[in-house]
Amino acid sequence: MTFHAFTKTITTALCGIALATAVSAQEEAVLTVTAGDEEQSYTMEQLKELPSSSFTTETIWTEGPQTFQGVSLKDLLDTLEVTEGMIEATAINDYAIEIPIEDAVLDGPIIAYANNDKEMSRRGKGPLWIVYPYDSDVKYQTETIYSRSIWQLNRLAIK
Amino acid sequence: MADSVHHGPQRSRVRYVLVLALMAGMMLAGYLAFNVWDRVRALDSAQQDHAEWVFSQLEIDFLKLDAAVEQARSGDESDLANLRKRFDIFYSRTEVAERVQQSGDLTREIQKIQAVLDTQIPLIDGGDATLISGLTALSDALRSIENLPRNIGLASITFAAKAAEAERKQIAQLIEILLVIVVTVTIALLGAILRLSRQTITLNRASREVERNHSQLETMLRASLDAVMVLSVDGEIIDFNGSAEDVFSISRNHALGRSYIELLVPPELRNRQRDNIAHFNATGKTRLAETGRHETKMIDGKGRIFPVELSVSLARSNDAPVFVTYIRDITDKLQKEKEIIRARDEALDAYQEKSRFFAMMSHEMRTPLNGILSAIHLLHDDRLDAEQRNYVEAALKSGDILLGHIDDVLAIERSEAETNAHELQASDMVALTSGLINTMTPLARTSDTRLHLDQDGLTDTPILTDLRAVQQILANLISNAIKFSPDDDIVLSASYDMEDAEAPILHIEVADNGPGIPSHDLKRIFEDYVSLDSRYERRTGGTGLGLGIVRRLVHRLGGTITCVSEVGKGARFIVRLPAKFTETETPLPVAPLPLECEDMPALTLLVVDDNEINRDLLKAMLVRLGHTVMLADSGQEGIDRAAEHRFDAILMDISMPGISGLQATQVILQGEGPNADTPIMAVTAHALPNERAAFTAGGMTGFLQKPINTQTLKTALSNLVQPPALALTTPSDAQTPPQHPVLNSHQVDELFELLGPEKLADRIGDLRRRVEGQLPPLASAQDGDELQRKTHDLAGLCGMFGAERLHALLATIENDCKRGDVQKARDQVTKVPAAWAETIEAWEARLSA
Repeated sequence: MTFHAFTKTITTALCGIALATAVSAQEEAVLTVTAGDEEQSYTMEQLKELPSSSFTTETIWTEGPQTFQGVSLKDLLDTLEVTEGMIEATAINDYAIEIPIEDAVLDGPIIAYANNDKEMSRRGKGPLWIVYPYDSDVKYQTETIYSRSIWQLNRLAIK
Repeated sequence: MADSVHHGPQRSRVRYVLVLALMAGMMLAGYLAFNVWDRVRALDSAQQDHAEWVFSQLEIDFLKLDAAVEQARSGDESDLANLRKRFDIFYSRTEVAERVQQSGDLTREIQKIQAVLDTQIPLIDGGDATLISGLTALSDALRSIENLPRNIGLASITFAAKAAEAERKQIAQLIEILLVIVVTVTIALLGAILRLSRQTITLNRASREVERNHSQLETMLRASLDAVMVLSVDGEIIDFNGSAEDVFSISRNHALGRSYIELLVPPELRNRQRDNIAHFNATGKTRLAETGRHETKMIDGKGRIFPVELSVSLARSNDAPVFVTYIRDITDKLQKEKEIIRARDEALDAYQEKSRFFAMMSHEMRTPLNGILSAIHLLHDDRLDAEQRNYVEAALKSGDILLGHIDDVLAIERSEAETNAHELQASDMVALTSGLINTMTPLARTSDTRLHLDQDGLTDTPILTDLRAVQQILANLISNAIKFSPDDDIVLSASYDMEDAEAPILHIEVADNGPGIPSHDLKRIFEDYVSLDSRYERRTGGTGLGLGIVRRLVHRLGGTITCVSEVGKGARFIVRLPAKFTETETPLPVAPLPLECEDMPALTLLVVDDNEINRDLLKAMLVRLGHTVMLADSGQEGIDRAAEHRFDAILMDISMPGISGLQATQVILQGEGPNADTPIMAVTAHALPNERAAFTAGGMTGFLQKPINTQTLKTALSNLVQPPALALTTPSDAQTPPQHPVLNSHQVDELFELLGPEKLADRIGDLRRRVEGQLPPLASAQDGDELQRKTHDLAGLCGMFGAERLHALLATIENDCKRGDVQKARDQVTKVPAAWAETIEAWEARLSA
């Protein structure tokens, strides 16, 4: 716990530094992933280079069916070779939520970077949003899942 | 049990309603449970995010934005970036809030915030300088909405609380209803369980009862004296009681499960039993069962075949019908029955033996009595003084009474014998009734009784019957009537009742005007030895057997006899006999009619009799009558005498040792001797009709029944030498109603005998005056009653003088009046003068003859 708290503090500090140091919007890191002592930052370009997944679903925050495109949480974790633990996702406004790694399944949640083929602005819940395929299964229509649907995501920490 | 039967329908209705209610309750509970479950499922999938969180976050993000604005006043680049971030966050937060809100009020507030934010976008998206310069404006804009996020948050809390409360209430309400229903259903179920348990108790009790009954029944069967066995429809023994074990000498264990046919039925009857079972299994119909008791044979364990009486019942139960069979060994019973029958037969034999003995004795007594009476008759002449005459008359009277008794006993014996077919003969009822009236008239005269004959309903077609029995019946009835109605009228009426053409009836009535018979005596008068007036019987010497004999004879002839009587109004005896018409020629009536013939020539006669007394008596009587007599003491001697002399007639005894009377007769008649044409008369104490037929066939002429008195002897002899007067009766056409002779010749003869020609001529003269005085008033009678009365008077007058045809005509008129057919009666009255003229003409012819 002490270690986690410490790591978190470090990460936060590093993030702050990273943000502070980012100059170009294009090259700016949009997501920082911490796994143990390793930390990896992704720019939007880098994210788009990862295998992409997409689905169409309605959400409780939007009007009408929405097509989301992004990196599936599973693919991301596979890339990082993470198989167990808990994912702590944090938003720009420091909203933080824990996602069990079991959620990361095929056809499961994705880290969306495009909504209806358009990038999402920060004002429009972007640039990254963890969305679940809510319509595909009733199990994705619970408050817990809604609370895990974090938008304006910018950090992931695997513990 | 009776209770449940009584309340059955009502109970089942209640049960029905209960079940329906229970089902409805359960369906409702199910529906509600589904509803609740649905809601619970709905809780499981939330349709919106945490509203409280969103709204409270709205205020936080507003405050952070506000703080960021103040920080940005420093002009530091990172502070500006932070401001932009905070703006974006707040902006996106308001968008989320707008989606999440649930009330119109909040929408307005949120849209107000969005509107303000939208105005600030150019500022935020502009360069740093623009932003810095616009900070105050931004700050002011935020000031204008600074209360809104908080208000929204508060309102949303209230709203959420209300919504949650409403939701809770709704769920609570549902649960309450559910609870009520669950409780109701539970109570109903409890009720049902209670009911079921009570029914179970009742059922248990009933089944205990059944068990007890069953064990009682079993005990009864075990204790039954009859062998009882229960059979399956295939003939397998299912039960076998203790008596069956005894009767068949087979133990129950050995019998159970075996086929009764193999075990208990004698081999020769087995196939029939198998047939019966096959028939039942094929048709469901029983042959032996439910048809009462049967007698058959069965076999026991030791191979003894014995007679049984059995009765089989079919018990049709739901699963498999069974036959319950009761069997009784009737070996002893049959043995006893046989003994009883043997005892009865022995008693009957003894009775018949005794009866034969009586008949024989009576017959044997008749012959000596005949001798006594004949001897007394010979004594009875003018040579006696008054005292001697009295003794002789007393002896004669007692002898007659004794003879009557013997005749009664013989009649009883005869009436009990079966009627032989050859005793039936063609009999003319017209001749019989007329002859009978004539025979009885002398007896009637002794008590001043008048006999009348009504034979309108007869035809002269003969009927086949036992003539002698009919004669005896009528003679007994008429002599009874004569005894009981002295100085009165007796009517014998005979007719054929053709109502049933297939079975005609001879209807005979004997009516008197005597004292009548009390109704309580009507039943016993036909019993033997019953005489209602014992004083009279003593006086007249009756045995009380008369009507008993009549009853026997009537029954033997297959007829009925009844008596209708009222005290003081006379009695009417009605005999109805089956009448079978026949075409055979009518023989003459058996009893020769007594004819007076004073001027009989002296005859030369031969008397053949083995009995010396009879022979001498007969000779004495004949000599007294003025005839010459020769005697023979045997059949052979008779033949010899007949070969030597010619006789005017031969009197032949029938039963003689050696050559019988009949054989002797045939020899004489067929011989070349002087007597080949001589009439030979049978003399016997007792002859049956077929015997008499044999006499006639043997060539005998007439027949004399013992005891013989001078009178009958005289009559018989006169019949021999001149034809009987019966020939006067002209036979009538069978197609037309019987035509009566103008005068009844027998009655006329009697009148001659009684009064002599002179006196009779005087009487006829009187009659003529009186009748001719009564004829005009008859024609002028005012009404039916008057006509009837006058006709009756006239008929009485004419009847006395044998005016048969006129009498019949008057009787018809009287009958028509009785029936109320006055017109027909008047039509008949017109024929009266002609009939009278005919009658008086006939009388004058007779008187002048």
